[in-house]
Amino acid sequence: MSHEHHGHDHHHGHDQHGHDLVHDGVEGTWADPEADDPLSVSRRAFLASAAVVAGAAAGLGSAVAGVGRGVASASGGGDRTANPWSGRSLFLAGDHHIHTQFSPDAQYEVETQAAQARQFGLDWIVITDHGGTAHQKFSIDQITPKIEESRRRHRDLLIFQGLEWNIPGAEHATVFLPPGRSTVDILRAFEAGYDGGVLADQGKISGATAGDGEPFALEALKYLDNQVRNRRTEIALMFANHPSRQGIDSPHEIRNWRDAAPSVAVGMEGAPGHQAAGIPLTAGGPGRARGYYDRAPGANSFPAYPAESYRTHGGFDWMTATVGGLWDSLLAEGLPWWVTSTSDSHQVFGDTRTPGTQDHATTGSRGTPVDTGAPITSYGDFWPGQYGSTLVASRSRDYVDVMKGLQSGQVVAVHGRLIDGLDLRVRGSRRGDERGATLGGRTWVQRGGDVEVAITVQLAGGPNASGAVPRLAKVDLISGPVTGPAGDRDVFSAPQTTVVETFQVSPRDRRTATFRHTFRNVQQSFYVRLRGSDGNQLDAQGNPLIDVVADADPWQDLWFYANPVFVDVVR
Amino acid sequence: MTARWWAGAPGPDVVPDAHLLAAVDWALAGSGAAAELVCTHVDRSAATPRTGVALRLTGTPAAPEATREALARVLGGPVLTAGSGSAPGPAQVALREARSGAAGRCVRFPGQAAVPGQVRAGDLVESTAIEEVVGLTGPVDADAVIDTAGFLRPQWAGGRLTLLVERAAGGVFQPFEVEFPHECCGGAH
Repeated sequence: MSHEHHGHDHHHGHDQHGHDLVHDGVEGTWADPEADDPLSVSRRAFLASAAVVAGAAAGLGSAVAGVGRGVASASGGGDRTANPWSGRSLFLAGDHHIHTQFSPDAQYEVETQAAQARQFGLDWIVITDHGGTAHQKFSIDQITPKIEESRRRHRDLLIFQGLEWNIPGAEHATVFLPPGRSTVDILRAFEAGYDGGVLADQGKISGATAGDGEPFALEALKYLDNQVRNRRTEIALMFANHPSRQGIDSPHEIRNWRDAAPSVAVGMEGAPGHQAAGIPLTAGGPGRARGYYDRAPGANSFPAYPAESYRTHGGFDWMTATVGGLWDSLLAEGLPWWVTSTSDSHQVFGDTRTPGTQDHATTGSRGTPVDTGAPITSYGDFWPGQYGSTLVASRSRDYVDVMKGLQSGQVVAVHGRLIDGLDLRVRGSRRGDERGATLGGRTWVQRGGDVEVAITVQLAGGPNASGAVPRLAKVDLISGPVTGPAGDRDVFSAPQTTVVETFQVSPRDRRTATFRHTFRNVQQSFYVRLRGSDGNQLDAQGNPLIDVVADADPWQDLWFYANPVFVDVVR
Repeated sequence: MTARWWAGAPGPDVVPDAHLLAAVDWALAGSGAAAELVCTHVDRSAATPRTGVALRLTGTPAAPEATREALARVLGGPVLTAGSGSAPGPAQVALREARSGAAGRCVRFPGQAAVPGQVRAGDLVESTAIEEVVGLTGPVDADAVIDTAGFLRPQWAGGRLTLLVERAAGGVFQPFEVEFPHECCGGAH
């Protein structure tokens, strides 16, 4: 109960006072800048929790309970607004999942990825090489100066240092921090203490994805949370990557991550990378599965996931692409969980380079890539920003602001430049919060009042990287009731969530398309979210199709998914 | 009569398909019986899932006890036969699931060796132990072509040995489980 109120209060304060408030509740006793030993920090976590409880009782809980916990309550407790609508969103396009020569299965220089990202119009990127023993020991120290060098070279590109964490017991995840004095130390300690590959190498868990790793994943997220609480970093974020690829991110694991560190574990890839992998052989492509989603269930898979969950749907992960599916089951709890779109760029379709000859296991790097001079068509990835991007509404072009935008869910996941921006305003138009909230936010209405959803889509203002100007065909308004915490932590459906209205984009709409929907006489807290499509590949219900293995041209099947707004019904 | 269903709990080294089949065949060599059906099963009763294996033999080995011991040795754990013996959870699960056809993934099954690369769904059902071909997105005609790529891992479901297939390029279907899915990170994690 109490943490719901923290969320409200904090969000409110966060928007008005910046990050200063974050520190108020954690003054003093246990902040220790020298603490790199995860175990020692982990012990202090006990104190941190105690401080939160005490703070909450004293009314200080808002400051420490976590930014971004924009909690909508089933019972309709608060009447505060999170992510208040302003109508002036600055969207910055980015990608939180990019590999370099410091991953054993990738090849490019940091600078190559940065330059490509810039060329494809990105404003921010995260370098996320695979965690593991060699990476932790040898790679980190080599990556850091490369990133710093590229930052100097690209003043208009924010380059975050991160990690693709092997979540113990589960899939991979992006973990990243803003640049700061302790950033590298925190990443290094985190990887040493909590990477699934490292733990498996040390025999502490029976395998990187085996179930006995689950408690380590929660410790890991609390460790990051503690680095924020003790002010070693202003913010730290985790996004679960390719969550459905092997069926090993079970619903309860996702809920546990979210609840262990709500201000750190904030979402997942709505769409995985590797989007070129499904281009058919006959079209000169790799002829694999889109997203490299070509697995069948294994021993560590969650047995209840259906077969179709192992494939992409219109390029998006099944958890996100299913109306009333796993993502909706999380949102129906009234809790934040955001979706993104990334490149997972390792080896780019049509590029001419192969990995360098250095031994990654002993040096932490593949070395300098080798240019063969001939395009390689078996590669299944795009450059950062070439196909997928994550649009973030940010207060400024600043590392922490971009992360706060991500943390607060002001995010749209887009493929192939289907849209350039989105102004979503959800407000209590009768007997409610008249200003309303935007993406990732929450607003309120009195029971029996009306809620108006106003949507302005900024249509693609030019060609995407395929050379064509994409054309948005429709926008679905999706909504479901907020029913409170899931009784069964492994539930992955929200049967009451449906498409409530589909808006067709008129051929006359040039730069923008606007739509409106009003929920009248609202009786129950709910949420709304949007998705849109180029209309090329739809089933009879307007849903995306399961991508056909080796026959999925990504440019002919474009979608966007926007993050939700929660509406609290009060009194 | 000694039961034809045997089951064990293979150690991690023996779990991969090729290792499992090699181990089973080695243990049964010269015994007078062979394993015509080899299925893997997952015991989820512990925090970490464990794999069990069930075998259906072509007949009774000449020296059942010696054969059982040989099999136990290569699998790295006791072997259960229907109606006798005790063994860890994964073996029990394997035996139960395989005999009832409730679940399990068949690494070897009768008729498997004779399947060509491309085969009609109807022919697959006629010529092998597979009883049903099911499509990921709907029914599969008997005339539909399955591109097996020489790799089939049908599963038990509701007492029937079922092959799940999905659409692939060129108007054919392919098995949902393929031999070489994309390996991320070199397959390390």
